[in-house]
Amino acid sequence: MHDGSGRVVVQGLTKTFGSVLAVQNLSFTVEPGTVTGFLGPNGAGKTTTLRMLLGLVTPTAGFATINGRPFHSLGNPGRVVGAVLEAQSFHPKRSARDHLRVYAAAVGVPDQRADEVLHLVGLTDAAERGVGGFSMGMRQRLALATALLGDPQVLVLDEPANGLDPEGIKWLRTFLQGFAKGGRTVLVSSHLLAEIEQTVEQVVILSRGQAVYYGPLDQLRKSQQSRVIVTPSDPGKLTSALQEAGHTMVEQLPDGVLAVSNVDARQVGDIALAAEVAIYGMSSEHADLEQIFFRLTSGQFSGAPQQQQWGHGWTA
Amino acid sequence: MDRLIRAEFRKIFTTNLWWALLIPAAVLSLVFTWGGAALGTLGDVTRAARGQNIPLALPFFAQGINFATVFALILGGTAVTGEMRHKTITTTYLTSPKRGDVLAAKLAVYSSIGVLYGLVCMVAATLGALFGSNFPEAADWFTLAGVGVLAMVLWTLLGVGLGALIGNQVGTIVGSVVYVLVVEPIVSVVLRTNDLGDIPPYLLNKSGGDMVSQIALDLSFRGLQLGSNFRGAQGFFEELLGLTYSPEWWGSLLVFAAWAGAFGLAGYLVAKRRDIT
Repeated sequence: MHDGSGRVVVQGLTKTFGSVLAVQNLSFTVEPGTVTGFLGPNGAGKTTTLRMLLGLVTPTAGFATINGRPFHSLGNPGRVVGAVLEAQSFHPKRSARDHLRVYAAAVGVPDQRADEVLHLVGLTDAAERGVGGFSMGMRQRLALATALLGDPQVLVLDEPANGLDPEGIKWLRTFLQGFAKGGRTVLVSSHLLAEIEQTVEQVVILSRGQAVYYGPLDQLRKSQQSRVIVTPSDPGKLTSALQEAGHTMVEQLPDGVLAVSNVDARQVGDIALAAEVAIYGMSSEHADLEQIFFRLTSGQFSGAPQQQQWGHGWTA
Repeated sequence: MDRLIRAEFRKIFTTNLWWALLIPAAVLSLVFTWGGAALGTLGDVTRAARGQNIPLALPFFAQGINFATVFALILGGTAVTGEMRHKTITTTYLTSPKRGDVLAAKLAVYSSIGVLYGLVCMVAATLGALFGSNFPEAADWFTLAGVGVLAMVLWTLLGVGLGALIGNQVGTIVGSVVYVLVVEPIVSVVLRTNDLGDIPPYLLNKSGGDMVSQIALDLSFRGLQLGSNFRGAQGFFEELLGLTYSPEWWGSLLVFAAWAGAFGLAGYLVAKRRDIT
């Protein structure tokens, strides 16, 4: 029926809603045994992509598979994939346990599984209460409990940290990492890198419906340039000396301060000494992940062309 | 499939709507039938029938059913739209991406709820007839009740199909109730005053109502010995209920079943393609 690999493949996925291009030729693979982050600002197309993966939205072009099969060919998908989606909700008058029993029947697991998953997410005490009175965090836990009913191999979560308190986020992080460690697959979306930075190993970064980065988070961290901020006695002279030495990425900041990228402080010091320029101050600046994420996804609303490199204003 | 059917039953019986709508349906059946049964024992009426009690409980039971079916229609209308409104449809489709199976399970489960509605209304109407001290022939009574159950099932299924087609809960319920109680009666009057009276019996609500009303009249007047002044009584009642141009009861049943089937099919085709965002 399906290959049991736990691999999620998205290939050339495209979706247009009327004239709005929500997702554009998106491709990536999620491997089992890891937690993969699916990152992008609000409106980047994350939710639409996940809903196409789960067969809720029909793609305009391209396809997505789980275990080598489209979602609707998975047989009993509740046993393979569990999903927590943002717009997922509950009947307000139905109790948490009844909600789970409805879907325990649909997935084909015994009723006591409902109590097991309630216990797993820490909602045992609220089992008899109507979901209408639940807080956002409790709803997220119940949605996760529903996703876990069929003991799935693949877990897909859309903004699961929304509404969770810091303790809840920490709990979720531990849970997801433990889940993946057992060789299962986790794909978790967020619009905040910081929220999932400590949870994920792989990231797919989405901007305006396209993937702008796809790979290990560590590699992204390393790939990004650091820059040196220097205050020289003669900015013009140091700039030409740096350019002669092959360091062309020099930005003029106010008050005669220069920002030089792809270089370390020692190199700048040596070049300044050779050019007989005095240095009044110097510091190294490393881009943190949040900045990288922001730069990768900025321009989403400005209509500027996509840039993989750092922004603007560099003197070349 | 049996997994989905179990899930659908649980969806219905873990919330209150099914009995909240059943109560007014049962009360209507009881009140109408009581009134009709009592009316049939009045002196003037029995004199016309040469001292027999006219089994007016039957046509009044029929009218009770025809009002009570509105509640079955509403319940059916919530089958898909309630899930859309509370966004549980996402979870439902995640556990069963074959949307045709989901709709089929709903149709099967809501059919049995339609049967339940029909049976409860029959019990209520039976009480009404007994209170009115004018219980008709048992065979006639249960024949009509059977047709009533059938009508209740078809109205429920019509609601399910309509809900799947429209998707929006308020739109489905308000739209169908307004159509049944306001739009179609007006259209029918317009058609009749323009010599097109043979068209209304084929409209949705009229065909659904006629199947019950017609068999009730047939059963009431069958074998009744009427005085010469009242030979035309069945015709009078048929005209009163707008049945003059209607086909036999089973003809109306077929027309109405075709309506329910058409909306069910349309609902399936639309729900299958609908993006759940």
